[in-house]
Amino acid sequence: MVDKSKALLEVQNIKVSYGAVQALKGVTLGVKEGEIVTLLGANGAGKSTLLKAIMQMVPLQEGDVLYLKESLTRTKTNQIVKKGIALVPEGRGILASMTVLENLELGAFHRSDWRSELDHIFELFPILKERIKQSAGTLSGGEQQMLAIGRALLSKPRLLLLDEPSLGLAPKIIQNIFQLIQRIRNEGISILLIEQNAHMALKVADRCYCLETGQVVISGSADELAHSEELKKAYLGG
Amino acid sequence: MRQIKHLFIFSALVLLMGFSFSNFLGIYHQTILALCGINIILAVSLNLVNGFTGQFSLGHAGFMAVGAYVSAALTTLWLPTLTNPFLMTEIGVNLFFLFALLAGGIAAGLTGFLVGVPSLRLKGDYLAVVTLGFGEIIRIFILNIEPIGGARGLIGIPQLSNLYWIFGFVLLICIWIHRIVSSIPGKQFMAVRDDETATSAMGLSTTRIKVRSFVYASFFAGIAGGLFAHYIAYLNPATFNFNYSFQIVAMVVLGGMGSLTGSVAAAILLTGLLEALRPLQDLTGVDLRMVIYALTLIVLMLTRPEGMFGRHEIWEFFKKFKKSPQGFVR
Repeated sequence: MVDKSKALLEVQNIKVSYGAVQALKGVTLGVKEGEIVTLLGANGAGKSTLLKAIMQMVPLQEGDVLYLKESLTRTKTNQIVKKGIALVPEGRGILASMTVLENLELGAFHRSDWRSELDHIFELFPILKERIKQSAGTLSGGEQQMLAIGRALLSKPRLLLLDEPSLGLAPKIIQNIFQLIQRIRNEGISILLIEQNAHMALKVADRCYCLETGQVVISGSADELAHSEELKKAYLGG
Repeated sequence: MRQIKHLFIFSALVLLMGFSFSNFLGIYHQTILALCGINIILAVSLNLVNGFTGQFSLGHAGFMAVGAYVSAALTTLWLPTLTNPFLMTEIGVNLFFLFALLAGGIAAGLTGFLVGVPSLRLKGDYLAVVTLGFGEIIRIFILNIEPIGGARGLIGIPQLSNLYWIFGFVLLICIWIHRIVSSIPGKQFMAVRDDETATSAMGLSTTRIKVRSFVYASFFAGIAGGLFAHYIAYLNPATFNFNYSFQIVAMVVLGGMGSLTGSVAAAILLTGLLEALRPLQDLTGVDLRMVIYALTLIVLMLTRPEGMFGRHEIWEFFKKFKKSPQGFVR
């Protein structure tokens, strides 16, 4: 079912700047079908900007983003979501004033079959079902992260972009989240994972890219890089 | 069946309010009530943009002016030239008034669309400045159109509006907006307010949502303008200056951004307060009204910065005591 050699997403030499600051200085990377690819890097390396560039939330200066061989540079963010890429933004992006159910409804109401999909989400995240009427702002950090991921999955993506899902969570919850990430991949959804927690990310990922001040400095299979001295140096910004 | 029941309750309420207000009160109190009603429509509709969608618009009086002038031009300049005998009858005139009101609302909605498309790409203070500017542009524009009176104002508007019309529309628009914001598509407005990035990451077009909320609000403001024009029977562009826009914003903020009943209460309070303080001038000999008005605003904002009702509707406060706290925190 899943063809591992097929390129799902190709990012080709993209450049993005915020005013005078160049955040991405020509980044090229790819995600194949069924893969977990992790993107490591220190603060300010351009990780989140890369995800925003893929979703066309920031304008590209140069380069191209291809999804299933089709350029996304002229597509609006909401259309990209409909094409099958979902983003879980940094800091979870929970709609705090609304209930858990309302958050999920908004993630999916443009699809006709979302109610059956909702049951699937509750199967993945049983805790959300218990809290269905609770306002989302009162959930714990881990629950909020699960809600954000569940909401993204409701749009039935083929590629899920996760921006630091472990941010600010307890180690035990982080383990849960990473187990879920693997489970989502086993359902055939490819994942591009941004992480600061390199140790955990390399455990679940197939391949890894390391960004440093807007450039890819190291890339390779996760197994190789887990033991590489080079990565340690680059990741620490040395 | 339910619809018929609701329609019946609705008409009964309008008739009761209109009847009791116009029969047991003098002209002065009636006018205050009419202004309360018009301000309620303005505050509730602006709340859709400022409260529910989280954008900051400062040009609401401008859209009201569009609605007021378009509907007044129709009834003052066009209606007398029509010779259809049906329009001479009581029903015919009132139907024409309804048509003029809707035309004013649609014109205001269209203006809202034209203003909203370029300006809603901005956020926060920038959006406030741009909408403030557009509100003034609309006013200056009207000021320079000679056929509708220009700076002298438009006189001779037939007094077609009354308390039945005004409170009918107040009820209708409040229910309408309440239904919008409690529907799933209406929740999009609140989603934009809570987190714009997350909303677009969910596959929703934030620009489209913001423009839609702006157009709805302008449409309702236009209707309020039409009701105002045909109640006062005289229009002057100076009425719709930025001061009026600020007053509407004050009502929304005071009532609570995101609370419809809060806007209603604040509109009544602020409109009524200025009138209630009038006797004070006779007692003291100085006009202390604005001082007290300002002090009221300052004290309320210091003690309840989230507005009188916060983001809640009035009935939620009663529910809070009755039901278990599940789902109702804060």
